[in-house]
Amino acid sequence: MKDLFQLIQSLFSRKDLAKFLMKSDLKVRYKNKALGFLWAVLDPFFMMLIYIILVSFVFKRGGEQYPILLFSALLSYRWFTFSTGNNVTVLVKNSKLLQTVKFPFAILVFNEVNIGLFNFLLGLLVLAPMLFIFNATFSLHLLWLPLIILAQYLFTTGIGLLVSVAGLYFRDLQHILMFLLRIILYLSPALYELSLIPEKFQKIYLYLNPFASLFDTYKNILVKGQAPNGYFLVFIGFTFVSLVWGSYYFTKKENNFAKDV
Amino acid sequence: MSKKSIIQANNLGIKYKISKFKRSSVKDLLKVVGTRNSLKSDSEFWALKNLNFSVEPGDILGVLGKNGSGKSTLLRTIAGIYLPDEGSLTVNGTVSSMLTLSSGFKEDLSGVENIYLIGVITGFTEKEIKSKFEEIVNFSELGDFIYQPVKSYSSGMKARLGFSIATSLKRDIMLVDEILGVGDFKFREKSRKKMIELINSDITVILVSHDAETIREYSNKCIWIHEGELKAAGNTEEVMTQYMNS
Repeated sequence: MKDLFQLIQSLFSRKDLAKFLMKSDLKVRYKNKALGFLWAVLDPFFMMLIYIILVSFVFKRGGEQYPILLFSALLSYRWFTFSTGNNVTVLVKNSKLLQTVKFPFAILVFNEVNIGLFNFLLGLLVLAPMLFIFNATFSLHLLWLPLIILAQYLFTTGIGLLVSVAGLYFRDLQHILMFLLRIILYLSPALYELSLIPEKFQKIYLYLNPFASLFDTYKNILVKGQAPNGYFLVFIGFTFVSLVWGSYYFTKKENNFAKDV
Repeated sequence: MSKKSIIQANNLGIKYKISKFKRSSVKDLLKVVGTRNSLKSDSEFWALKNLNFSVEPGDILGVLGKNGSGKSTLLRTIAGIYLPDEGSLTVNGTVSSMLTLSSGFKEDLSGVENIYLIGVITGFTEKEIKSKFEEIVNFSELGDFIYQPVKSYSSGMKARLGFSIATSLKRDIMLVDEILGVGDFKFREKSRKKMIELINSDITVILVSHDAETIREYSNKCIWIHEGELKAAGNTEEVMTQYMNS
């Protein structure tokens, strides 16, 4: 816990650094492309399109609201995959920097989560009109959204701290992780509804898979107009563990990065 | 004894682990399991050992030594990147380094963006950088090129920009690693003047070079490191004579 507070404190002391890292990363990523920032939106949009064609047209399943149900979970999944996939190599990629300047290195991990969040928010802008078109149920439970986003932000950061260090000492992790991230998509209720899981397994499923309650909650508040259910506490639990463990592990190893990279 | 040393090394030692399985992958792990070769068999290598020296505020300390003698390790330790594995190193001031010169730029970003990025990474606030911005651009003589992506720069232009950033955004202690011959003849003269200006200010400079002449010209104090150990320390002329005669 102490590590976590110190980490947060050191990051807040370097707000300008966080800002410019993000700014320059976004510029490098999108500036030299003809469609620029539009790619941040088109990317998940095309991915959604593929699944819609597959599920709605080929399998004739999913129902009327399938596009928005899918999109609201897919955006969250893309955020997590993007940030985690980048964080596993973030220390190796910045090896020159780590060996040149001393700064709170965790800021690099946060940066990848920030850029993922930025893409996620752009995606929400695209989702918003779709919610109208596909007759989503709106309710005041939409106000939960910032809290859910915050929880995912912290969870992604905790995992990011863990995989960044693990990825430095175990280089194969990046390939294994790509595979795991793919599996997460199929094991979690993004492409399908939670209710499709047989009832007697649902409980254990929700307890074991943090993404089950996360994706379900996004669908509930964005599309169905329902409040998050109690299982979201499971996700909060996962968040807490990943943050405490991640910051402990990161802080413990941080002083060796420059030598070990 | 009235002055407090700005840098004080006591028995400073820095070691690297030479791991056979450093770039560990599944293949390596299988090897470990297969041969029952435990990870404990890693050997150690002391890049610096038993180093004792001190630097007073305003000193220009030259660090002499061949390639691979531990000079860069010493700079990194002063910069706070490595922690001592043995002994201690006390640094009573803020440190900025010129190490970033050639490697720190992001090629896709403009000169302006790179100035800010390097500035914030090395610990300056946006406001501080803004106040030095004009000085940096003027000194670099890049003109409108400052708005172009750094990848369009020649190596000389990059070096000029790097030098300008490092000498404008400075701290109590400045670490300089082999960069005094920057750019064309005219800019070299200008950067030489700038260095002398820095040396005459109250800033402390740690100057690393394998070129004895550079060290002789600028530093008032000198240490000579050989294979990680201190061979000699003292005023520049004394150490220089020993270094030359070795």
